[in-house]
Amino acid sequence: MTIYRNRCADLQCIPDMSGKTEKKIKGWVGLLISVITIIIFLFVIGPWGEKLPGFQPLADFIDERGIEANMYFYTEVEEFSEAEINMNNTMQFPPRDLSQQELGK
Amino acid sequence: MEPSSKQDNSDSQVVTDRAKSSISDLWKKEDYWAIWLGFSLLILGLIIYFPQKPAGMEETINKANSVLTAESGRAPFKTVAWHQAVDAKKKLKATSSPIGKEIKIFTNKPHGWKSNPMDSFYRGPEATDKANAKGMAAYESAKAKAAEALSAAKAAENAAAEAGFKDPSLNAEASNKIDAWRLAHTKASKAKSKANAKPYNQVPYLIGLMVAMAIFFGIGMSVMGHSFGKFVIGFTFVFLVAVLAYTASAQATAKHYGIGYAAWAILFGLIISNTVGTPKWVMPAVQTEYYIKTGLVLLGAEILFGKILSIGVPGIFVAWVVTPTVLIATYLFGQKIVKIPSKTLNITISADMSVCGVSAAIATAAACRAKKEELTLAVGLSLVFTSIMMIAMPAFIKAVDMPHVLGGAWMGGTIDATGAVAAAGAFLSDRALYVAATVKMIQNVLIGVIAFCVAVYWCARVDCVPGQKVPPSEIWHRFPKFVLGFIGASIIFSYMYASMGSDAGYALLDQGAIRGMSRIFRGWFFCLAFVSIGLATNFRELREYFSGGKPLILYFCGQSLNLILTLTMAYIMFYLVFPEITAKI
Repeated sequence: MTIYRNRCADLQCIPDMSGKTEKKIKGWVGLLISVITIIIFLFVIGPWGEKLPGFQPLADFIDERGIEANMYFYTEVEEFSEAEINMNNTMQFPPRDLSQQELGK
Repeated sequence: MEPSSKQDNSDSQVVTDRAKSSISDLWKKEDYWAIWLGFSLLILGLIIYFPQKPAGMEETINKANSVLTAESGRAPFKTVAWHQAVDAKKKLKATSSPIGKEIKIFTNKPHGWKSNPMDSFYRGPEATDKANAKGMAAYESAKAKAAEALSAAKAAENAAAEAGFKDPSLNAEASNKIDAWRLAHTKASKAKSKANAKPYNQVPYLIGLMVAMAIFFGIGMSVMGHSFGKFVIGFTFVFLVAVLAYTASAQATAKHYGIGYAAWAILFGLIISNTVGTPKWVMPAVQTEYYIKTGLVLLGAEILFGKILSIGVPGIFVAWVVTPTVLIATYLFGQKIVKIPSKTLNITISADMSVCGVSAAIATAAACRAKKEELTLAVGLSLVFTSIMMIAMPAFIKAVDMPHVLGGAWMGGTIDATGAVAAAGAFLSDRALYVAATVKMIQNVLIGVIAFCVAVYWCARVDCVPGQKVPPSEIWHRFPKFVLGFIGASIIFSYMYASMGSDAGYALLDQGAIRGMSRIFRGWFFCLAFVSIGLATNFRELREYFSGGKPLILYFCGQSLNLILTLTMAYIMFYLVFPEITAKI
């Protein structure tokens, strides 16, 4: 709830909006800081982290293959469709087993 | 939420909720509206895509299957012709029809970008030509390498065939060369898509989509007694934040870290509500449950039970035995040892960690009516652990030289987010990707069962006075009805898929109403829901749920158990009990 403090000074009695204004300013400053933080993550810290030896090959690989690495369900990722059709056909039409005799043992 | 009236229980002097149902719930309650709206989209998808049978579908399938049968009986490894026959079937997609392409353009999310966010919405002919020219050089090189790899694969296969496939070293050589060709082939096809991009202006489509969705949800709101106009006005803001969330998730760095639209949507919503405040005129459109439930009904259609057999019995053991075991064990651990103060938070985190991250968390949270802060916390934990595991697990598997089938099954069963499983699996090898993706897909299917069981358990055991026996009628009254739509969609689509057979089902249903309709809108609805969660959440309230770090302890311990059990089960199933299946993969 917004509280208007009333500081009546002299003859002019104007509702003091300073509390509300201060809150508003704080809010906008907070928003600005948040946006800047996100920008710093996406364009400075994030890319720096990607250059770490343990991470860079994976990041490059994700780019090269165009993998949607941040999706949440199997229907959203193309690789799942590929994997599924491959596995289905592997189970349905598996390579034949070689008998010991065929292998000359 | 179901209607309820508080009644004084004179025997126990405990105030309990007594739910009631009436026929008007069918048009007055959002649970039912979620079903009507979800099914209307699914039916629309079926009407649009079923007539879009790819030209010569049956002939292509028959021809491919006869090649596959012949190759399967001929060689002890997957031959070049075997792969080419599978590729031919893979191209059969109802979504490739002209109307399918139009729908894709209309409903597209913001495009991928690296440094300029405007690339997400607009790319003119000049910029496209420039990008294509750059991509073309890479494509030509990749195409030449793929052709070279194909020649080498064919030569090695012929050498093995000339020896009657009786020489193990020649067979192994041919198999390796074919694997190398598949890798080069995948790289070439990815490079091709980067060399054939088209200019786009997504802005008018996004505006159209916003109007369509505002009307779509607004109708339900209006019938439920809310103001259509106020909802539509607020919806523009919620949609705009959802677009921002999708834009952030399309950025290259965000993709690398596995930070998806759900995390961005919550974050943006939280930032707005906790800084400048959510404008009052937006609140009529902050309808988390309405969007989530409608999205979940659509998700039901994507849960096809026939897919659990995709990798045979070992996959079922890894995904359907370990996962529920870990879920129950983690929940009990959370109740008895960690003493998580909220049961709904406990089950949401347990499902999120043991099943498949965000999508499982959404379904479980909705089924047990968890608080929005609890879902937010579960999503946040999943995000952090997914990023870590996506990077660490393939590195560890490579370091210890673990077989890729085992490593794939391990990652598929433990990494939360589906996209991260694909990245980590493919990073190891195609074989690891196939196993990881299939195990994760089987786990995804488990969501339906878990959501249903959680909903029933909560109605019958948790939301009642200790010791009180809840009659079936009461369970029905309390039961979240949208779960029926969720399960119903799953059963209907699973039946259709099974009736059509996997090949036709893939072409017309999976690559039709599911990926061409359900998936698209479900993603948008979940995004709107997460924006709504953020816009209505206070940081302070959120902090209270994290007190003492208990959720983190629960997640960490549960995930540790998950890692151990999944690896053990994968090893037993793929290497001790069913080695013959492993050999064929």
